[in-house]
Amino acid sequence: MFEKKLIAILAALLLPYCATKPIAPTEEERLAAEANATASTSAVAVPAGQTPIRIPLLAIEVEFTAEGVKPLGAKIVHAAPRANSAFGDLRVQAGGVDGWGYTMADPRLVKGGGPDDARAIVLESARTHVYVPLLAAVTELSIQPATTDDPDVSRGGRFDVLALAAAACAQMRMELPVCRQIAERSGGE
Amino acid sequence: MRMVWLGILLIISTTAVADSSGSVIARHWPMHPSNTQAVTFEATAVADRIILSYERFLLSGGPDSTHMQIPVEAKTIVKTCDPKGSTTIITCTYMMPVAFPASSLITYTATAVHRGAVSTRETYSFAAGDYPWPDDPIPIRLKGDTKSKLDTVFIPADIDVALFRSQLDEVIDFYFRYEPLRFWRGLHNFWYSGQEGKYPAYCQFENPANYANLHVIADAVAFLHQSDVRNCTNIPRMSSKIDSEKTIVHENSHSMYRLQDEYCCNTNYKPQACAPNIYASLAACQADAQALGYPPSYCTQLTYETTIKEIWRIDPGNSHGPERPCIMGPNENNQSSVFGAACLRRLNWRYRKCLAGECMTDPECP
Repeated sequence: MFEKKLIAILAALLLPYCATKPIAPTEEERLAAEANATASTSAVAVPAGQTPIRIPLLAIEVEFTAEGVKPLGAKIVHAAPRANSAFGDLRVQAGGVDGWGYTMADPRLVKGGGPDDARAIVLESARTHVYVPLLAAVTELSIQPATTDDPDVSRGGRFDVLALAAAACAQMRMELPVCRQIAERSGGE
Repeated sequence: MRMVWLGILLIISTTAVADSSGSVIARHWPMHPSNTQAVTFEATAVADRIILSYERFLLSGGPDSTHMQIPVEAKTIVKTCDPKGSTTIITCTYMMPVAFPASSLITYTATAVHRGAVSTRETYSFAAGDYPWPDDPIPIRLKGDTKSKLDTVFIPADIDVALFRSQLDEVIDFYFRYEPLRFWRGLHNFWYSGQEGKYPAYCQFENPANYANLHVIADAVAFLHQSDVRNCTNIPRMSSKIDSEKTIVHENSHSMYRLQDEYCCNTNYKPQACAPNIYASLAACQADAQALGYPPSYCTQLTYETTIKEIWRIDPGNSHGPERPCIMGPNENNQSSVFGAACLRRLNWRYRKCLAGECMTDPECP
């Protein structure tokens, strides 16, 4: 009787691992995980004399509605280029530079907090930030649905960014060389 | 005979407590020590000996210029724990006698020695003392470049900031109670915001003034509060009570892995093209069952009262014998909930992308 109970306990402990064995990490991946555990860490700063890992970006606050997207304002931040989102509902692309783009989640889509009702939620409007490199060459920003088969995803849109960049530059305490180029291109100074 | 069985049970239990991959687990607290708080380092491993060490860098540079880190203290061993016995689980703890000065970045390393050779090592960095760039996310467990890591940023929401900071080590422990997050913990970065946001009502997020600086690096932004307001995820933002382990892990999993809810119905369902955890048809669910080690009969259509969705899940929604409910399903708050096999596959799939150098590829499937 005692042994039977122990077998049941052992089964309870082991079965979840057995059931997931086909998708468990391999020995090679275990070594990779170890290598990552011991990897050097540097993502907030760089040793003196090395190439910066952060670039000036224009962070544009935007508002999404059922009709589209409109810019509300912008500021300059220094960071590594924005990476994709796990939910790539929308594609952000900067006009005027090749290869700049990333995917983002639709900010109007919401996941409820718990299984206690049957409402699906799409917000009427939602604000978020989108990012483009701070360059005089970047004149337009486009935000479009990544696929056409999801009716819930916002329509997106496109708008000019040069005036936003010039305004953000004017608010900076420190003058960046690129801001002079942006001012010249936008017709200021 | 009983002793043999008890011995087997003990071995399995203790192995699970130490670490399923046999690694050294390093932690410290407080996660961001102030100018007057001494930090405590701790590490646990199955080993003969554990060595705790750190290096210190000075962070410098203005808010609009390149951030620099200058080495100011070479690698210093602060403690060696050597019980002089056979290999066993060692927990090695050391509290620094004084606080680190302002603008410090500490790189902490815990090394486990097994049978005379280094067996495993864990390294990460964290800020100590006043952080020089108050608008930026503050690193509390930093492993490296954001593109090849999964980045979570915590925001204090209607909570005393000192209390919030004092609880961050427990919040990060929540994540690492779950496999495979614990196994792949080297692929996670954790940060927090020194500026406060608010979460006053259901799905109403009020961003802190520095949100543009936080969002740019974040895969998940967690507004942590103390209220009983119903929680919500608006990717990358999510809300949770600061001590709610299940909510934090569940909501974070949407942003990090694109895991879908396995309960019905107050959400949006988008079956993933690869490594899915929900399906758009019963046939698709049943076709995937064998790969996950489940019988096809586990496929369940999502329903709630009279609402029926054209969506199926396969991970267990309830406890059945030895099986535990999936943390993305209708019993996410059950004390025994874990990631079901479909969710586990999705998590490992994401980690493999991070290992390849980019966690969030576009398109996500070949």
